[in-house]
Amino acid sequence: MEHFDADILILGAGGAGLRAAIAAAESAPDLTIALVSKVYPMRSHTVAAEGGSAGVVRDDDSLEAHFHDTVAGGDWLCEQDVVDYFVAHCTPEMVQLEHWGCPWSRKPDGHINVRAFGGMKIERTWFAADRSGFHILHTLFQTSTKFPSITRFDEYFCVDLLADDGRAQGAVVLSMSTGEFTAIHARAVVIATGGAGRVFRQNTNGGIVTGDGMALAYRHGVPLRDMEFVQYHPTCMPGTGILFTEACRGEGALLLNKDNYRYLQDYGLGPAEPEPRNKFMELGPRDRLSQAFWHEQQKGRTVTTPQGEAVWLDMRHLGEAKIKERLPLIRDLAMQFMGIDPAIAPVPVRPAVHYTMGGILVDIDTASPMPGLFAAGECSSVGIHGANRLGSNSLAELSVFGRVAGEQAATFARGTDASRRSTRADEAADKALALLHQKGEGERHATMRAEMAASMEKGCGIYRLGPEMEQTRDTMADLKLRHAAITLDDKSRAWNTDWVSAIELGFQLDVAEAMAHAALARTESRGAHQRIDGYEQRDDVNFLRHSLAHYQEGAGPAISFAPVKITRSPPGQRAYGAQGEQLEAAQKDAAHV
Amino acid sequence: MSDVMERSKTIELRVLRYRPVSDAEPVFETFQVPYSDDMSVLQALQSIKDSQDGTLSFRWSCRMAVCGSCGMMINGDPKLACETFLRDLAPNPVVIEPLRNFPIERDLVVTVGDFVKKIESIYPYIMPKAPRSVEEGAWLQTPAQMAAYESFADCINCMLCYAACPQFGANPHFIGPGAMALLQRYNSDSRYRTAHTAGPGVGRGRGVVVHGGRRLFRCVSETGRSGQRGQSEQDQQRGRLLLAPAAPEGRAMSERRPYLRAQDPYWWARKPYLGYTLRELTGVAVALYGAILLAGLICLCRGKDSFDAYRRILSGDVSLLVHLLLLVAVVWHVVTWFQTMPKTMPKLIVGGRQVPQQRMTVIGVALAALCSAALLAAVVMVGRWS
Amino acid sequence: MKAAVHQMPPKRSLAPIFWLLFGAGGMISALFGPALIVLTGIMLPRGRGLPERFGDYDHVLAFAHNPIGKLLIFAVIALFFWHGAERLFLTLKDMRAGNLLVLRLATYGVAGLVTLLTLTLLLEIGF
Repeated sequence: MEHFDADILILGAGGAGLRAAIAAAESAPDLTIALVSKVYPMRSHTVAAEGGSAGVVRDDDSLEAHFHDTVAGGDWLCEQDVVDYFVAHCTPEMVQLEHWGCPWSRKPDGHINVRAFGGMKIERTWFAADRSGFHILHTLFQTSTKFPSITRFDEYFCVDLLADDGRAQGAVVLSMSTGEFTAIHARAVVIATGGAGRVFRQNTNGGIVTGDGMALAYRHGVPLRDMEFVQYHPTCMPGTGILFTEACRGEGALLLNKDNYRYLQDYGLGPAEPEPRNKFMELGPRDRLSQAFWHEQQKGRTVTTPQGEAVWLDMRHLGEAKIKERLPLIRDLAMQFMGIDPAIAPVPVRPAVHYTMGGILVDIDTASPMPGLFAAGECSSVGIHGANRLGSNSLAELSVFGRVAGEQAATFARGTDASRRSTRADEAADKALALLHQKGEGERHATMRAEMAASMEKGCGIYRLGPEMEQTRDTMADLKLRHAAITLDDKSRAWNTDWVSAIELGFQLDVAEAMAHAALARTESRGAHQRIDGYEQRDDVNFLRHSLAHYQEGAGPAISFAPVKITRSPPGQRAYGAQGEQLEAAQKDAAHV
Repeated sequence: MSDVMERSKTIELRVLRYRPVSDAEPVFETFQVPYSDDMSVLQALQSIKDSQDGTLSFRWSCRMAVCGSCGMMINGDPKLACETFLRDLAPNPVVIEPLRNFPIERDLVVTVGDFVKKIESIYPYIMPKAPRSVEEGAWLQTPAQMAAYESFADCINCMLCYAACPQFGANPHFIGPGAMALLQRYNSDSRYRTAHTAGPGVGRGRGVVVHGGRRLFRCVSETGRSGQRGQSEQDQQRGRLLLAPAAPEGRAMSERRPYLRAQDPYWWARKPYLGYTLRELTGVAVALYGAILLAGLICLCRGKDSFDAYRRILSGDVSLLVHLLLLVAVVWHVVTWFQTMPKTMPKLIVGGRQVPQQRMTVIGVALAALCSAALLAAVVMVGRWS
Repeated sequence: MKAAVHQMPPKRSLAPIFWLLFGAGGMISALFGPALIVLTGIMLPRGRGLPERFGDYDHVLAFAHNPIGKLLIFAVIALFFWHGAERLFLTLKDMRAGNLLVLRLATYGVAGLVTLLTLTLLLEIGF
């Protein structure tokens, strides 16, 4: 097996991974950085993010407001000190991206333009048309080519971490093109491998979003935090799950049921007004909107399409010019995939899984409990999203904490001796090869993947029931056993995606199992985890806590709980629309008294 | 499931396979795939992989035409599989091959590394006019300034343009349209300092003729120089396995054996390139007309008798026919000239917006009509006065 | 893997000069070509729309004696040839019609000869 020595190893070259690499290269130009990605960096799923990235710029806005929107949006499950750090660093990071060339959309005078986004009191979402993630990713990738200290391993798939003596030592990676292994030895490791949305059937995610890094850290003893919180984005294409950005609603799009009624007003988000109003109606938070859809479906008020039930996303009143200028990608998607011109007809949409709030437990410095192991981006749980993420906080997170991870990894690497070469590399390779040559019962992993996804959708959907979650939990356990008995069609080494997909399925099953166990353990409703089996209320007494899933070989995870860091925003009522306004006014009055 | 369309019809997919372990060269394999009207080619390939043959390898990720992974030849045209729909191709069999002009690694997976190196070779990052700290805030950039480079920044690096480009096909060292688009993106960004130089493989960046990144274009600048290495040397590498470099001692060779398909020597006569070839030949018509004038000049020099003979020929029917044919060719030259011209220029920004290429074509052709009309009118009027 | 970054400064090329000739010829033929063909190929030889004498030896010679006339004749013939030469060269190269040096001589070479010939003839005609 080949060996490569680096000071810092970064797994994943999406927004967070690239930002970490650049930060490490800038803060420590003498250190060598290995940047590993199973796809070429510009294919990372950051590329598909559409809406924008948050950063306070307006005079009538404040870090305090961003803080409160985020904490309330997270239903008070956020680490408030981390949120403070986050909101303070969003804008400088967005400016840094701009300096690196990111084509943020502008006002006529050339200043940065910001748009409204769900759950945000004041407009603070920087955007690059409706391809913000695309532009951020390409800016970061192209900028990263400036640094000779970054060595990229493009299309290398990580099969395992090297963590001898409970310390991050590197990883074993598989070259897609040759099928040969390389052991990368490093003094610090950053995991930036993204979320795990593909464990669900309908999702906005690309095929690569399979929770690889989460599973690897988890298997090596790092807890996964808050895994029960999975975001359903309310406006996705029926069938494919392809995302229609929240920015549509930021520009004024309406959600209508089959009676052309703006149904969100029935769910505490009203009253309905003709102009979009922040935190009202269509600009409410994602979990509430997805939940409203579920209720409408129960009431039989959704529209039936060949791809299932949906509601109308109506952008006709925005006019063709505005749609072409602000939402060109959305327009292309609607026209090419569905044959619908959003300027002429409403677009059918429905919720689909979009984001994994939970992930690898890390602190404010992106350090996990394992020395030398850091994590940033969607794969991590740094504490800013809590029980529900606000739109445009995730792209901002990539830069803010990507940078922290890179700098912290560099500092850690400097303070550590050159790693003794791990001796476990061959083990990891052998394990992967064992799967390749496995003579199982002949079951195909494709069927198992479909079963996993269907079960997760049923048991860990928008609304959850104990028996269904138990069923899903058991299904995951069963699938894990069956995974040990699959047979691959493809036994070759060069570009064997059958093999890589099977390894990914293993990762996904571990992550899905953690999600199901954590969901069962949380007997309350909060944010994106909503139960309709007697636990409909939020229970701050017992559950103002994070869940932690601890890997157990041969069994489901052990679930423990950890306190939430509350600094200055005690859990309050999470209200939007008119109710939210009243609440705010009452709080202001109370403050003046 | 009630929310998945029933796959009640069947379509035939002919996929070019290549497995370096077992295949000496690529070979077509046929699959029958049940499908529904909302399915894309990508979904059809996934269906094959999931339920018929797990050994079929292809790249994909986002499914929404933004990551650039799933480029391949579909019925001979470079397309993204995720946004090419079976309903538009059915009921005929669909022929799927890996992207043209690239070595094949395996099945529909081509070698991408060289393309990424080309991207990197143009120094694709902002080198600002003046230093600016983050504390000083963002640069100002008006919508008009952004319009100058915006569409070049939209390139998803899918390499369909490389598959479409016969010049790249003839010479893999040509840096190619994608890299040039990126070069233009940085050159035209107002935050960027003066003109960007790049490596010797580029030649002068004279403006990139890339329209939507997926159609045939003709790069006006340096493609002629792509013969740097000589045609014969490149020919030797065609249609043969590109052997992976010999393994260092003590290590076994990997399975990897990329295969480069020969460029079709008659590509210029096939769709969609035939139109381009005919367009280029209108230039020859222009020169032929020049030759007719030259003949007249020679006869003029020789004297009255010679020139009168020339005039007699010109007044005959053959000459009339020739001139009519040349007229048709030159009119076609006028139209295609103004179709191509906007593609080779930096974007024209008027009133904060990019002037659409089609409008520039219409204006150009109208201008040409005006000029020719004016010339005719002027000569006729001079004729009337005298 | 690590990207190789080109460090050499770009070499200056002659191609822009040929491109300018191609471009000028293309633009002039685009703007005036149709009118010229109609004039010299259809109207003048048949005396349609123009007095027939305009095309006779004396008038054309007078035109060619005139310095502006010379310039126009030179520009049209030479630039039209350079335009055609570049396009023909590249098309023949696409067709792999032969050795590049041979193709260049057959196209640019001919255009060059034509340019010299036209210049010579116009000077021979005198003022």
